[in-house]
Amino acid sequence: MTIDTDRRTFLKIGAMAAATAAAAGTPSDADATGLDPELRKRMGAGVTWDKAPCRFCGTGCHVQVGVKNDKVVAIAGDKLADVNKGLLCVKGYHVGLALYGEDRLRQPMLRVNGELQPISWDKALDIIAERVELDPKGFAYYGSGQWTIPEGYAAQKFMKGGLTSNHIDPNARLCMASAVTGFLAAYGVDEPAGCYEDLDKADVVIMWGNNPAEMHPVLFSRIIDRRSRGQEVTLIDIGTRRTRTTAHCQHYLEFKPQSDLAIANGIAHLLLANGTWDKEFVDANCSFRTDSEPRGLFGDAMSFEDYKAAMAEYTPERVEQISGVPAKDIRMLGDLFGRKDIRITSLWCMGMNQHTEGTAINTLVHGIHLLSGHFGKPGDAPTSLTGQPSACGTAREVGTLAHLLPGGRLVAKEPHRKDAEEYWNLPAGRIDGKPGFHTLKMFEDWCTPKSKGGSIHTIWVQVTNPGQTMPNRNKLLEPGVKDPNKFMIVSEVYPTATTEIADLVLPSAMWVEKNGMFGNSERRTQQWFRMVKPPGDARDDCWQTIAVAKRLFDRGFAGMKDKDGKFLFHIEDDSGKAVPIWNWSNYYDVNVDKHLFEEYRLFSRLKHKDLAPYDEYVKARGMRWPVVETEPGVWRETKFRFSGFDDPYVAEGRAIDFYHSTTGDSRAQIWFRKYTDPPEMPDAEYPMWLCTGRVLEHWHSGTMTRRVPQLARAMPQGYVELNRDDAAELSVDNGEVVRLTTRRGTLDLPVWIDGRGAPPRGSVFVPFFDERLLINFLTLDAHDPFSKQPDYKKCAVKVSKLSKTTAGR
Amino acid sequence: MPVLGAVLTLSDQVELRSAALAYLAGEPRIELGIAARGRQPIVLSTDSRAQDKALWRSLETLGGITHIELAFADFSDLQNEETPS
Repeated sequence: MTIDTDRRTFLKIGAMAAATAAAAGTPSDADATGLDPELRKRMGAGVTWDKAPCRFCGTGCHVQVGVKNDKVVAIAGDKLADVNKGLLCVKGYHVGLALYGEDRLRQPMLRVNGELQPISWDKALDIIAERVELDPKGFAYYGSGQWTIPEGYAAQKFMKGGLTSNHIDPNARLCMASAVTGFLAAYGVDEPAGCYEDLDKADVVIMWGNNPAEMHPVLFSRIIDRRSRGQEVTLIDIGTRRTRTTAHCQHYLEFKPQSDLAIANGIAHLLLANGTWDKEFVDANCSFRTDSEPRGLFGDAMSFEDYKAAMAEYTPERVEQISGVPAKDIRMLGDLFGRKDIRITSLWCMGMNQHTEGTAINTLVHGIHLLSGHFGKPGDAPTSLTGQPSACGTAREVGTLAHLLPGGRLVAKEPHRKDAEEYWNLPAGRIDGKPGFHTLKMFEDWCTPKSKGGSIHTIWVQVTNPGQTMPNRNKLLEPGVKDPNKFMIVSEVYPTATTEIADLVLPSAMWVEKNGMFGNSERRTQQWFRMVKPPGDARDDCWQTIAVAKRLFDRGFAGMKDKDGKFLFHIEDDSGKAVPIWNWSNYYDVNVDKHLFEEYRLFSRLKHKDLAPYDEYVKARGMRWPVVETEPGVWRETKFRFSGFDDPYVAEGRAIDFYHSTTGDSRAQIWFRKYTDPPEMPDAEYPMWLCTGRVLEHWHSGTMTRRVPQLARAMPQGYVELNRDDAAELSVDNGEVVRLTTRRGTLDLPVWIDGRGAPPRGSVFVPFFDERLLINFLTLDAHDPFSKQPDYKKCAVKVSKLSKTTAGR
Repeated sequence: MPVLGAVLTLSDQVELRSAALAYLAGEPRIELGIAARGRQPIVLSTDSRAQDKALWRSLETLGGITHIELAFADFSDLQNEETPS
């Protein structure tokens, strides 16, 4: 036996031990670090292991990362992690390989005469400082839910505390902003009340336009695993196209785009008509609300009688007429929600959020859970999922949105600004009270020449890829790219559709090449340490922000000083000595993440989103907020918010307490909102629906996953899913190229019939992961009036057969 | 080349499940572990990327496998990955 063969045999035994234990669900086999002891032994002493959350979707799986000679060489599911219990999906498996694409960006580059030329970090920092000095109010920051919590917090403080500019927004605006406005309108505070344990307890799980089998596979397997143990779980897929999720469901209710509004109202109608609504729960905990004139996020109060009258028209037959879902299936849903002997969890993600009535459908789904009393008990929960690893932790909690301050507070409220100025030691009045531009407005303004009123001259993009994901790109990107007075800075790890149009490119560290913290979909805050060095001259995004801040400070920019004249990111070591963290060589002399987090933590208490000290997260596989200290040094997380049996902020003696109620009386709001047609529907010229979305193998725009050969091979290029009958009518077969045309652009794509998903007649689906086949030249930028989130899920398209066979634009 | 420890969830349909197990048992690059609760632990070990690709695809398209999850992956032998074309 050769050494190699011997090693592989050894490893295979360890791999089998890990897989067998995971299949059997025996987390007790793990050692104190969450790794299977057999695996540790067989990987050898040369491999060091540590925990980190996966850096892909918002599920928040923990992985054990094996490192040897400054390189990630192995990945294992973390058996101590509640979220994933030792297992990973295909993307999690490849999270280690994603660091090692050959074309990682390794040095700063400036576009000169159309070409990106290498420059030094020193010069790059000067260029950014000069762009700020041009007009600080015209400098914008565009990030994402891939920012770690400290990165987002630093960017937030840099912009709102340093530049006195609120033009900072994340791509989470395109992803889950409607979930935020839905939670705010219903409960007065953001984020789900329940947690993943609901999936272990629910008798019925309803997926509203959601495909967790592909998008959140580890969560979905949690449900499937219950079935394999003999438990009965009813799965219902309410969707506009059959997916991998559908195959596991007992019921598939296919609805016409936008008519989820009518379906939710149909359920409420039946609860009222059948007298099966939960009178006791509603009387104690709920009020009723409807749209005001003009429409506002918090609407107008309405009486129960008016609510009932408004819902009267949504009979099963009327809902069938609007949605295409048979009346008997609407009755089935109504009957389920009317039962008190079962527990129901609703799941949703982009289907309900990327919706021109996203806030409305979010509030309606919360409403049927409240009306039926399917709320606040394990298994009874309306739960939104997120697509990014820290959409909740960074975008929503740190508040890297144009209107927010950390901790869910508002720039528009003077007391909130005062608190932030106190925590940041800023002079009174430093923070601007006017909300900045949301994402679409930011890019639209960047595309508007100064002579025509455009005020944004520079956008700094970190951890996201708007070149690929911005809707209606011809309107929201191309004019700015062509305007010589507009400038785009992009911090990235790989070349992307955005670095292609950038003026300045900064190479970034990713995942375990840096310290970090994320917050997942169930309010769980997670921490990890740097394990390997980034390639070349790539550096942490957080360092980049702080280094630019220091460069501005050195050039005399007043905003980078606090009210005592100290640097905004002044950090001292344990001996009280200032550490020059703006020098890359000194950045890891202290734990910058810990310093920033401890400062940020002060904000978390202001809206009952309390976080524990940093060191508690070092020990844990994440903790769900609010985390409170029950006795000195003992920190307790909260699984079920607003529920008296678990939430420490629920008033004594109450079973349920919505303590951030918009009406100030501990009540949640049950909304009535009518069905309205979407802004663009198929017509004679554009006769089909176009829906866009993601696939299992590629995470969002595919920047990282397309560099993992196994994933790239499994799903090599973009395509259009076509219904078999539509394909026959067009006389096209699998692999043939068709042209998609909307009012905004055209794209040629190969056809896939009966492939991964199956759209109904008159509807096509296109994934957005392929940067060579940019579907977002065709999508609509119409958006929800409250969340400002655009609708990527429905617009009108024409499909025509082509004689040529090359895909492209 | 990579050594993977994975968990397969098999179909409820007896015929599909039997066919999947027969395929897995006959594939020399796959070792079957002891199934628990309808979940089948396996180890995959291949000698080349081409084999890895073919094997991975075959599992994904096998009708009797409804879900694939990974417990462990060792890729210490791999050099930097190529950029896909």
